[in-house]
Amino acid sequence: MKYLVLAARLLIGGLFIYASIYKILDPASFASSIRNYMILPEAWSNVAAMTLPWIEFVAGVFLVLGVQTRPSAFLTTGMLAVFFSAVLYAFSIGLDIDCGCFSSAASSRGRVGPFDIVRDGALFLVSLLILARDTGDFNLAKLVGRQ
Amino acid sequence: MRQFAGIVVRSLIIACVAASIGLGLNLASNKALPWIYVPPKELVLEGVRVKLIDEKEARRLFDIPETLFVDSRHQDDYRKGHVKGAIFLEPAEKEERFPVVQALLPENGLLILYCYGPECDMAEQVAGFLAQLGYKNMMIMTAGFRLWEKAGYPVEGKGDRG
Repeated sequence: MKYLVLAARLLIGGLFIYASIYKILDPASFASSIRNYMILPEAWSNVAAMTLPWIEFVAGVFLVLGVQTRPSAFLTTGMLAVFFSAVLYAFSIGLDIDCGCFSSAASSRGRVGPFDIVRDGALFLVSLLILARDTGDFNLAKLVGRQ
Repeated sequence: MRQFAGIVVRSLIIACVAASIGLGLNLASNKALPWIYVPPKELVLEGVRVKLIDEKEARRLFDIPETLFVDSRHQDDYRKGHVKGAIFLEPAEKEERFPVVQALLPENGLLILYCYGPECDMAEQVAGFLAQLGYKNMMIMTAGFRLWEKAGYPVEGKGDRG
């Protein structure tokens, strides 16, 4: 089990670091994406775009290193639950994320599909596994202590 | 239970510190975003000022004969229903479609463009294209067709919303 948890940590941590980079580099574009989901009041979109990517980044780095693993997994699990709910909501109303619209056009590329739901659902479960089963193996403090 | 509460508290501390980094770096950035987002009142596209209006103002202008609505949504959605009298011109095929509708788009008239809703930029893309071609009197109904239809304003089309 400890190797499975390690793999889960590296997967979720790596994905969160990767996903946060472009948002950190272009917060205005991410703020626009947040508004497209139409879940948050649009007045809050800028604050969310400034803060959320850094929470993703720090939680991702901590998961990879094994620092504060379970609190970090709590954050990633919470964020994935929100993303999963957002995708499910967008899918249920036929929202097109590219244009923030409710398009029914087949030509629309930004439509949320079953793949997005399965992906976010699976990642949520993997993150939950870390939160539930991490026992502190392979964390930075232990690895450094062995040297 | 107590262990779980400890995890929650530590996660909140991590989140607060990380969020503070984001807010601090935004303040230090030369492209700092305002904390509260305020939608713009107008856009400047290719040097042309394009006023952003709501559905009520658009409805008032609808009664003026010189006003023409331009629907920038996907064609399937246009067919299902659009503002009464609106011309279809979507961004993906604007170059090919423009010669077909050019005669219907007088340069001295008022064009009101719309797409789905506030965050849809398809009307903006078409307005930018028309500005390049010399159209100067344009507005964008940011509320989009969704709110126009919801308000019970004049629409036409197949009416199939399924």
